[in-house]
Amino acid sequence: MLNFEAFAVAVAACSGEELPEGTVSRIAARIVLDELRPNRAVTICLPLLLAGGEQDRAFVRDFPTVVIDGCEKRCAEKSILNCGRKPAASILVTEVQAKYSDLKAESRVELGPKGLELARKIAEIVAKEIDKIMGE
Amino acid sequence: MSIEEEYKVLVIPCSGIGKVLGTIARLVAYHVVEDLLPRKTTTMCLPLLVNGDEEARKLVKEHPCITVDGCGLKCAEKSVTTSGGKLMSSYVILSEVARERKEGKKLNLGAIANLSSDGGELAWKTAEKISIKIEGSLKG
Repeated sequence: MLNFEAFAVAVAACSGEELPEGTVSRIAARIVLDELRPNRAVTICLPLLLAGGEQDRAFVRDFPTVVIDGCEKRCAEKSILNCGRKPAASILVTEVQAKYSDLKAESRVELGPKGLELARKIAEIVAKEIDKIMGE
Repeated sequence: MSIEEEYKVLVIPCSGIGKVLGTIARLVAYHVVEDLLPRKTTTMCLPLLVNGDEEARKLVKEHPCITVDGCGLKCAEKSVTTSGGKLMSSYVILSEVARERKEGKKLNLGAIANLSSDGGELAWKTAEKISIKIEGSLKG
């Protein structure tokens, strides 16, 4: 359930099913929500947003969103743009991965230690973006 | 994405990120397409389909689709049907959980990023059920 009372930043991950990078985006979002910025970030259920979930769409219109996309198709970013708002920040898993060539997910089901480390790096970038948005 | 065989069935989960049910739906799809029926099924990115990707829309129109949703909002099913897809069957993990609990099982499904053994077992059981359905449809 989204909380409209407190100021928060939405994190939207593509969760793309075809690629390991989709799983990385998903786990990175959960690390932000569960560990790094639990009181400042909420997640947007992308399938619900895309299927027309009014509460999620209203949240995206009213609050800043950080998107995490697995690939260049940038489905999460497009989804936010389709709600009439530009994401406050966009993170692309493959771009971050290019900077850490040793970090790669083992598969789309199991990220493995290197994939998890990549997800954590991405989560840290997202957390910094949230801090910037909140003026810290 | 390429589909080499004409009879390939698409298994499309919601992958909802707000509930553990979405994680189970995603794992169910992977069990079917990677472990149980790798030559007869494949999956696709749901956001790609809903954002109107032409190739994704063509695939759901031309191939039978099975959706696996976490909750009763049925986002994957809605997305496939509104894209004009051929829906073969749809499954909801919440209904599978209710069925198990009705049989007296106390399920602890675990966390969104870390399923428990109960969550993993439910995913496997549901994947087997879906595979049987697909096999039956392909024979029939």
